[in-house]
Amino acid sequence: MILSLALPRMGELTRPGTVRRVLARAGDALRPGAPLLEVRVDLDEANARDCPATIFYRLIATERAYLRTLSVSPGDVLEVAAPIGLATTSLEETFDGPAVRPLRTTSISIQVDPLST
Amino acid sequence: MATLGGMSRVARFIRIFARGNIDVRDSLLWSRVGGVLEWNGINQLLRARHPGVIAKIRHEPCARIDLIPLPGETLLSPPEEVARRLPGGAHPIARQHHSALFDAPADAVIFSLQSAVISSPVRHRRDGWLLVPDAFDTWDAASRAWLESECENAGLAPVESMLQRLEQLIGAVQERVGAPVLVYNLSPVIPGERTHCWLGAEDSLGLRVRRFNVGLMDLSTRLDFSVVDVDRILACAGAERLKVDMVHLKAEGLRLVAEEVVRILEERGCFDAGG
Repeated sequence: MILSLALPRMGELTRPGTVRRVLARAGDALRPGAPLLEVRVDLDEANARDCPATIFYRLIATERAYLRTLSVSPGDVLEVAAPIGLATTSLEETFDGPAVRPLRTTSISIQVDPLST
Repeated sequence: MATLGGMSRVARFIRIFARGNIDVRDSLLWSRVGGVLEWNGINQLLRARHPGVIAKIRHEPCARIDLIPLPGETLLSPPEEVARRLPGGAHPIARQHHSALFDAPADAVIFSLQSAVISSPVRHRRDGWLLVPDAFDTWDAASRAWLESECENAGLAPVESMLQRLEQLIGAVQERVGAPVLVYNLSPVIPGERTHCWLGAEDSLGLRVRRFNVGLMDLSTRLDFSVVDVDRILACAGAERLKVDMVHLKAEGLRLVAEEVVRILEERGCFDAGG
């Protein structure tokens, strides 16, 4: 079964996210809890607040699957729901057809190394 | 002298010392977004509920609560030359390890868990001092390079050590200042986060906030201070609707938190005649 992977929507948030770190690679066997990527989202227009509203979140797989493609790099700016990869439920499958459903994932808010921002 | 409806009356001041960041500043003082004043702080409430009473708020940003010195304590801090030279953003480096907390009388002292939960300082590799490089991505290249070469990420602080420090601070305030202490907790709700299994998510900020909140309540079973239960206030009113992100609240959320502060100050007798 082919599974799609897209940048998730965080609540009402529709602002683009910037890929901070890519934590998985095509070919990885995913399991629940496997990290996929970290994303930074600036919630405000530039300089709207003296302390900008920014969130960092990590996208995590919550099911077993095989990551077949992951087409993002650090610094990429992605719109919500932008397709970023494909997974399959078995390694033998091809992944050139339409996805049956999205890969099950969750997103958690994280704090990051201040020297890496 | 305050003027009310053309009649003048003597104002009474309640002196609040507040050491905290966005949660404390925005709810007690003001919140401005895109140049528009969204919330005008606790005095907006006092004008209606306690006419003639004005809150004089002395606010200090808080790099992290273990960087608030106890009476007589000198914290390991960056050399003056370094503190002067590096940009500090909302947390001027020269002030991160100092406080006027014990220098002047106050009728109430307010802290927050926010810095303990999310502040991520760097540590000088050789000398061991900490500093929080606020808005590091906006620093000039030379300052960034210097900090990157001299310092390393100190990481988030353990819950236990932060709460121990808070306990020491509360004890010192009660002994030296004699004022009630209020401590803001945090709402763990992050708009859009729908996690139901924390496998691989042990560093989730939402989880960390919950651990701190439980620890704070546990501390409050042993010490006489008040928890400003931001978690409960926002949960009852609709946290996702009232929050922008982990720490920024919309104006209605700020008003609800400020109302809770006023209610606690009332119950602590801060507005009593002669109080």
